[in-house]
Amino acid sequence: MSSQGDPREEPRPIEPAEEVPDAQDEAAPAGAHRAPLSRVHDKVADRAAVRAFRPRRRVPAVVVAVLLTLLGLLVAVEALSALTGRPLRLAPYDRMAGWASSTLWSDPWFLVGAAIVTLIGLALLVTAIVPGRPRMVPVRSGQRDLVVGLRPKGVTRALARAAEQVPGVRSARAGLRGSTFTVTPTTSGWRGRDEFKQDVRDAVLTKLAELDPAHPYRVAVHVKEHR
Amino acid sequence: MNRKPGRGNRWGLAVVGLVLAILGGSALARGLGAFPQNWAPSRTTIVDANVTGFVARTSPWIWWLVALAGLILVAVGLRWLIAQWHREGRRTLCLHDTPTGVTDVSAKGMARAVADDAETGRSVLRADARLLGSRADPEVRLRMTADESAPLGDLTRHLTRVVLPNVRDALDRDHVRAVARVSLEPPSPPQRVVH
Repeated sequence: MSSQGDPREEPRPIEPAEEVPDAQDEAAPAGAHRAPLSRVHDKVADRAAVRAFRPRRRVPAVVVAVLLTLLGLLVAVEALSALTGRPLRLAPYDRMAGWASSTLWSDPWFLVGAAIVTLIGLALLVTAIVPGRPRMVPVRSGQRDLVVGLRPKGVTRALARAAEQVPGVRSARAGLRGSTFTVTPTTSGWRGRDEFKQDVRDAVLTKLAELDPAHPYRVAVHVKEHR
Repeated sequence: MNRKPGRGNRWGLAVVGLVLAILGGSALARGLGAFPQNWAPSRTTIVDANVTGFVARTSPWIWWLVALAGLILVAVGLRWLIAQWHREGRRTLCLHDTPTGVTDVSAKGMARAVADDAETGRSVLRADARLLGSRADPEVRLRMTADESAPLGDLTRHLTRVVLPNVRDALDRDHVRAVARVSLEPPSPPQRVVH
């Protein structure tokens, strides 16, 4: 029999501090980002690391560029062919002109078309303005010249392995969605759920702190019991 | 970091999005009667006597302008498309350019040396490198596979204390930017050969 951990539980954020205390510093709150060595974090380098792995919007850019090229080609070819006295008429201009000459600005279908164009424009604007999540897990390198990113798959595998080191864990899975690592350890249920969950969280946080991400990540632990 | 394609894409999408939003929004506003009716009435046809009169007055040079606008769109669109697949890699990198001579190094050879240097790290399982940028602003891109059980600090220390200083020395630059994409993998199990 298996049961899912309490989904209402808030995942704890790992906020990188200005200066990270030693692992031995017991004053650090539970679940906080702990690193084994003391070092000063360079916010400029952190930002550069996060920016380096942001999505480049290649797919929407290619789609828009292709449409722009085709539209330009059609307009240029039609205009030039008409000017030289041999119009190609690739598009039904007479019908289009007839429709535009007989349709009011307040025509419902025209308004629907205008609304769709506006929405597409706004969607493109949002795509351009919202920076998007990094495709890699940026980590601190200690130097502004060096940007290091970890592939998420490797990080989740390393976190799952860290969770599997906790006594009582049969197996563990980990995934990354947005800025949250979700770890799902499977246990036979011989330990108290809360204590077990805390141990798994500590193990995962320790591993994550070792990796020293330049961007804050949350860790959520959902325990699965398998008797 | 060379973020030019990403930045260009975002600028391009923003400009096209803004133009579409303004055109669509204006047409919608006019159709809904949001503009003064003596200036932009909603109860007229999209192409009315004013439009046909304007085209008749400005023909034929207006069509030359339309054709030019179409050609500019084609040029911009093609340039944008080419930028997506443009490889930033270089074949050679000029180290010294003096009146008495020029020193070029093969970017491929240099990249191989950087990758070999990176692979000497204890936690590094595999490494591959590319050299990009210009003589004044070189950039190294590394793809590495590292042992997931080893502290990541070992890898970053190896890069900052060994690999990058060597690249800086080789290129004779105070600063060389580097981007490392790292895959964490379990170390391969020890193999026993029985004869």
